[in-house]
Amino acid sequence: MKSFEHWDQDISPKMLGYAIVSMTIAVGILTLPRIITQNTQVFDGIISLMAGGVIALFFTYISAKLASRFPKQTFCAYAEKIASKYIAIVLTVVFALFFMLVTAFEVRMLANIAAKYLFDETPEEVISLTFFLVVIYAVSGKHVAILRLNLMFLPIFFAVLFSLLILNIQYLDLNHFTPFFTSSWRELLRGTFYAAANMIGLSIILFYVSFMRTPKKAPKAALIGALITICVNMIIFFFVVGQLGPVVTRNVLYPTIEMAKETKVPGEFFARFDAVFFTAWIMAIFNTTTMSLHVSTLAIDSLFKKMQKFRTILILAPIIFYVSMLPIDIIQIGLITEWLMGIGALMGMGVPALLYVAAILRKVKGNA
Amino acid sequence: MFFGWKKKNSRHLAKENDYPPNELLDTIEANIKQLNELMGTPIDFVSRYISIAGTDQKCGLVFLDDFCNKEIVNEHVIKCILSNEDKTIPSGKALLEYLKLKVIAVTKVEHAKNIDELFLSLLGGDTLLFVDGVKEALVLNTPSISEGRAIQEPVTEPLIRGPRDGFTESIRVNSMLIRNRVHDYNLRIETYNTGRRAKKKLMLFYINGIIHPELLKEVRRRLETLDIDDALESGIIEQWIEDSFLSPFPQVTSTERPDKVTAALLNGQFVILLDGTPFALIAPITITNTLHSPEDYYERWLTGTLLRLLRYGAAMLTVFLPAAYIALVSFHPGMIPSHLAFSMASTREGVPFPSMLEAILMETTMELLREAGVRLPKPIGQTIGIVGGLVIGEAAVAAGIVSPIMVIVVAITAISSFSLPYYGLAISFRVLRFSTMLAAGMFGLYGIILVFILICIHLANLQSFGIPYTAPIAPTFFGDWKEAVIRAPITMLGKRYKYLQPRDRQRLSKKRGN
Repeated sequence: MKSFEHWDQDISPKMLGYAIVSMTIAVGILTLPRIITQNTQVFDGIISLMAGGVIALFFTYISAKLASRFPKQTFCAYAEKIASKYIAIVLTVVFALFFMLVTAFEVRMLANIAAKYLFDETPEEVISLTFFLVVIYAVSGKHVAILRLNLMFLPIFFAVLFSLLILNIQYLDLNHFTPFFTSSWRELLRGTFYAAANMIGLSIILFYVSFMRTPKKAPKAALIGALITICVNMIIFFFVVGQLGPVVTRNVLYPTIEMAKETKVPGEFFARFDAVFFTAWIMAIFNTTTMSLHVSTLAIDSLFKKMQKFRTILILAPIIFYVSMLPIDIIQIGLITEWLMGIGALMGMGVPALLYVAAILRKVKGNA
Repeated sequence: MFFGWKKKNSRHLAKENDYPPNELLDTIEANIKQLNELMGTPIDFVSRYISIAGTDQKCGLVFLDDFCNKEIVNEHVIKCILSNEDKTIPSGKALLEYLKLKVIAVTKVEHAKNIDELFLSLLGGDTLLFVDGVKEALVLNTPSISEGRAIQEPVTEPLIRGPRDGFTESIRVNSMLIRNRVHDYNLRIETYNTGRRAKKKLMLFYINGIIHPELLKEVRRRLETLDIDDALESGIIEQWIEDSFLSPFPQVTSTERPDKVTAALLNGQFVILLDGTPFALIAPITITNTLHSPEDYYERWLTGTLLRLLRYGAAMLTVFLPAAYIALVSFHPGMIPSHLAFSMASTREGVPFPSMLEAILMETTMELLREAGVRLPKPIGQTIGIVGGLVIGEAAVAAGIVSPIMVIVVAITAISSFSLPYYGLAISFRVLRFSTMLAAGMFGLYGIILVFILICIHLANLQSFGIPYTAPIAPTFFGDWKEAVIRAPITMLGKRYKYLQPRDRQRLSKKRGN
């Protein structure tokens, strides 16, 4: 079935764009308004979000350029060409570990939030285990199917998100936005760091472009994808601050869900819109978790030639689950988040930038 | 592994059953005797010797009584041979040619050397003609007009507006129905013989120039691997050639409607007919195809589109409604508006079971009723309605076993599953419904969404003959949405489905096609 095959092998630019949006819309969409308002004054966080967005876009472009310079090659293969074999192996291992950590983090966050909003007694371990098993089932399928799931779930999530926002327009209070420009540049800079670091999922570009048939179109698709997430983050920030006010936003754990809690559906068919929003959000975080687990298996498979994907998953899964259950409470999870953002910024922005500069200086190219 | 085992086994069997001598003999008597003995000298085996008029040469006729059209044998074979006027006729192989060219007045005459082939024709109603000195026979096509079922409206797929004819059990009638509708010389029919013991005709229909050649190659490959004793129904062919036998979703549709088949052929799909069943197979299909009804096209576009949207809603209700009831009642009563929550709680007051048990009880009863309704002979079928409506509906509520809201839920679920146009899909949805109910009973809304994700993962991995089952939604072909998801006005449907990769995408003339 030759000519049908490309549907099962290759990723189209559209899919890459969807993947980036799905990957970067995760826990951050619930917590980012709080983190930004904690670091800046009133509504000035929007400036930080914008600046952070520009930085993220810049590194998205560099990552996509770097990956599309080496069509049909895994990250490990082209890192070896640019630097040396050992550096390539070390970088791949660090990426694998990083994405394993991201997976563990997402699984734990989901369990934590679900336990808070949906369940009374069910323990977090059970919630996260069931979720994680579903993720494992998805990753053990075809890799193109994982990306197709983005195409299915992302529109559902966006539909729910935007209906939430539209229902909330009536609650916007313009007094919450003033006064402007009261933050110091130091505060803005810190906000910018968090806004940019929220986009840590972007480094999946380095791994997914190798499946594309037309890698030349990757940078554009990646940029559009990243831009969508940045815009969504800004819109949500606008609505959350506009409805709850900066002080409340700073002090609730998940301000976006709190906003959804206040929403009233006309006709009162649902008494609580937050549960609907939350279910849609589970799909979004499912996509993020699946892709990060998938990328870590891809990274490990590229190191060991004879490894079967399913075996890799079987080895990784217990480790990830164990790690995800290590933090005791939400404060420890918060600490890990800070670490994760730091490492993510380094891996997602520093590494591709260095590699790209090195590739240009040493004039290394794909098919040479 | 699995297939290897099957192949090995069949080879072993073939050796054991290597009983019929596959060669014909020299004389008429020997040949006829051989055939008769191989069949175990049945009473309907008729053999007849005729000497060709005006000569001393003989020929022998063999046919099965009642199986072939005796009028044709009398008028166009025996009479013709007896009224031959040539005095000098050749012998041996030339005699066969002579008879074929100058004497016998039957439309279709073939040569056959192989005993297997001969039996196949004989059992199909043909007449065999032997002459001396040749290891070959003439096969005269004399099948009786089969007294099968007349063409009727299909019982399983009724339409309000649309043609009233349906397939019958005879493959000849069925292929004629298709040919009648597709007056295109590019319509191709490939015939296969299936079954190792009971040989049955299987026909593969497609339109050359529309269907993708690689798809065709794949179908042929799969059909050639068919290795079964007897293909009882097209469902057995379907299960043999489908992509994944673990999936609850049908990867091939079946239909009794020739108009549906025609539409599929023109889309670039292929169709398989099997002798002895009115159900034709259509493949490759996607999840959207299974929710379409031919009537979507016959009604005006607005009606068609709205009906389709209604059906998507019905599909969701079929799978998720009882689960949602369980989740709301036992996990998230806060999500229900408070007035409704109070009235629901008051109706549930005397119910002794948790909502999951209540729902599973009622749904199982509903499945039982439905199964019983199918199995019962028609005259007493109404009993089921009375028993179901009275006992299950009112009495169960009055006895305080279930709450009235549960009865409403079960009724809506049943009605939505009846509104799905393809029965095979409705069955798989019924299976999925029980899994969502279990998940909802354990994890509430969270469980439902996990099952929904699981179903989506499975669908994203599923294929029908190499076509992704979720096309055109994922992979996305927005151009196909106007026909696959909604039903745009006919004048706008200028191109065939892209996801099937037809060789000729233009359906309307270029001026309109967009």
